[in-house]
Amino acid sequence: MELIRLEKVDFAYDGRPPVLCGLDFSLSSGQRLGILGPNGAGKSTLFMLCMGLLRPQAGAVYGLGRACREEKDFRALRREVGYLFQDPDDQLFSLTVAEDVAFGPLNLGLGRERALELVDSTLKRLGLAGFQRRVTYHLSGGEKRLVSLATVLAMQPQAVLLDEPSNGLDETRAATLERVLVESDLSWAMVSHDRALLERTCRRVLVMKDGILQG
Amino acid sequence: MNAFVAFLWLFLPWRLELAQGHAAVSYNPQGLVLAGLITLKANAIFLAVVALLGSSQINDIFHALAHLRLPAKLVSLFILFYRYLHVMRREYLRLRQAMAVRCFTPRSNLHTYRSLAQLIGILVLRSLDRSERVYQAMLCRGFAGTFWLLDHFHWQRADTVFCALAGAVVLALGLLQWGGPLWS
Repeated sequence: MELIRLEKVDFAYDGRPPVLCGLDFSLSSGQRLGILGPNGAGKSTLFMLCMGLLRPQAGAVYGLGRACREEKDFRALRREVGYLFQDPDDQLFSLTVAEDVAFGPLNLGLGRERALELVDSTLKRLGLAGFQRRVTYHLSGGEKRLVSLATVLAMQPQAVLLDEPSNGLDETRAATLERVLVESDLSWAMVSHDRALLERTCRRVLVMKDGILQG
Repeated sequence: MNAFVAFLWLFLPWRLELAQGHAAVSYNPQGLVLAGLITLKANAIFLAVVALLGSSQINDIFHALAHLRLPAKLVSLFILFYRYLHVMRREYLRLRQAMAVRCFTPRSNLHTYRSLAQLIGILVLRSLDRSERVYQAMLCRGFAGTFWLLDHFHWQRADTVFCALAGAVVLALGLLQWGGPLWS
């Protein structure tokens, strides 16, 4: 099933040269895509367009097969596709880990009991059992990143957009992250500068260059 | 705090007398009593606040505010403010370190003022950007205006005991203050 499709998308930030020109991209369930590309090539921009956080100047965005133009069109898509931000401090805004991880499931309308179950099981999966009462801003950089992944996974999405997921993780934590992802039945698009990681975890690697995806 | 109270001790014991054409300052012992009273009250209030807030976890305080029916928007504002204050502080310290390793030493000159102004400017800009990204991250997780609270307080035995004791103390104080004639 097709989750996201971008068709002939142009995008430029205000007063700057275009980042994306006529880009086509699609992510279907079952796919695991890796995206390589130099800094500033528009990899994060691509994800933000997919999630409806930015709007393209030209072209169309389809979420779950429907054209998405306004904020409300993207809501259904965001239930199925999660987005892991580059900076975990952007993603963790609650005081305690449990609250942050429960935020998504509660927004989905799952009850308190179910949300707390998801918090426990997701944290355990990521090797973070017992982190529930920890205060988010006292976590180390690596812990923060894994907790932000937990906040995304707790919503039980079909697919995730991962923006440099292994950045700032030590070897053990990077291995945990890789294992959790590979063993899951998630689909994803993953941006990274680590070619080896992409080749290990993704079934197809694309390169972003001159505003389009190649490969 | 007692530094402020010290000023009261300095000024309260004197009385200014204005008569035709000349002013005189004279010693007034009543002022000392007043200063003593203010010192005791200020310290008592301070200690009570420290005992209450200092022994509570910050999340408990915010949750208590929410349960005391403070407007939800206000509570969210407090929580986000507290959460990102730390991020801002770290960013500020990092920028100061970055300035320090390039041999910046604050002096009273235009260069210093300009650099510090830029530092503040960049902090404001970054926090604007960050607030944008935090909001986006929340949208991605289906945020529709509700902040969820996980912790709920339950009335426990200890609460009953504490309330009874505290109530008794307050009652006793009241009796000592106003109830004198009853048993004298």
